[in-house]
Amino acid sequence: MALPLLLGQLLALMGPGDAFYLEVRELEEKCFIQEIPDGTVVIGNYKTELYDPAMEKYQPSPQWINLFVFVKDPENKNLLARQYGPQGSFTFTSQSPGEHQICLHLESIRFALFYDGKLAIHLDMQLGERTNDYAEFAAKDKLTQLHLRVQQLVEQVELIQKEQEYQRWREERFRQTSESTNQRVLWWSILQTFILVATGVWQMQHLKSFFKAKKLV
Amino acid sequence: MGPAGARPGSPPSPPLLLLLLLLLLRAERPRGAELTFELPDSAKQCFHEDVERGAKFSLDYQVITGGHYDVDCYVEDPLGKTIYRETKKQYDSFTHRAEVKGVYQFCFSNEFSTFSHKTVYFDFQVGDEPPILPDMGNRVTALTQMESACVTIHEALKTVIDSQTHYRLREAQDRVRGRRS
Repeated sequence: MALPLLLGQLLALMGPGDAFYLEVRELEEKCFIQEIPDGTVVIGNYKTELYDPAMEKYQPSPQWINLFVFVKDPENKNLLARQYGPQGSFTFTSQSPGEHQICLHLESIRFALFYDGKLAIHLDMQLGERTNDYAEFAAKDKLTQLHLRVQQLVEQVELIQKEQEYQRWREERFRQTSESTNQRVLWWSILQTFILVATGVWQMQHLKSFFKAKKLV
Repeated sequence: MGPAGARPGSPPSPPLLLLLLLLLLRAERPRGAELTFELPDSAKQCFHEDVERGAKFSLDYQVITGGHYDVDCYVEDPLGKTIYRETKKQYDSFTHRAEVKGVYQFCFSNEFSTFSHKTVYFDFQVGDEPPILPDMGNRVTALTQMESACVTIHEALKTVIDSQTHYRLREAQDRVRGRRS
């Protein structure tokens, strides 16, 4: 008697469960931005629901509603472009540091265009050490609880180091941009001065020859 | 508390105990997320979250790019009452203890702007952080000194990571501002 209840609770605990959700229509694209260093693992647990007007609440989506996930890296290259079922998780690892764009939209794979249907996407995106499955570590390497705690601390410190490295890279990029802008401004002002002086000299000469021609000088 | 139907004097059966534990965990599932999204001009984006009665939730948000770096934000409880409303804010932090169980809605609005779209970062946390293993959450004995030290370090590192997030957002904001001028 307790076992099916137990399994039910276990299943409910897995996945995003009651993560916050946003309301979308079919084919409406929602994009999120993640600014992350390279080598960061991002896991997105999601669950989609369809609004049932008769019951006035959201029900789990049928199997013919699929989620399309597109992830673009800072250089606009496609990191992930896949179709997923109505419930599950997507994951990717960043190859280069910077702003990644994660776009989602829902599509019904059979052409059932349900009237103005409202859909909900429950989304739970985690990155870095929160993506670790500590239960798996414990089981595989037979680690104690203390060992797991220390492991979590090690991962957190690594995350901090990566973020610092990312900020250092950002500063370097910005410094290069600033220096090149500065140089270009310098050359432009030199050029401008030169043009101004040349124009002035030409004007003087022209005026002189004009007056000479008019026999005023 | 012994499960119903257990024979007096016998220990509660493990599956039932596990079931009770899981039910307890379900009662106040700690969760949170931080996201950055783009809000087009004259648009509104809402997020909904199911919160238990008595749970504390917090919302931090900051505008990273766009216009005057401001956005309208409001939070509504399941009964439709507005529990927080601010207009044209650049960043803010809001915490609230839920008095009503149900779906809370928090919305960001850029409806006052006709041409600048904004990028908004928000961090929404409900409840406390989940333990790294489910059974570590409800110990009956006190933590050892080593474990307490680990907890302290963990909290301190979380502060560092939050601070890094704050600086990363500021850097992004300044970079965009610099490019625009």
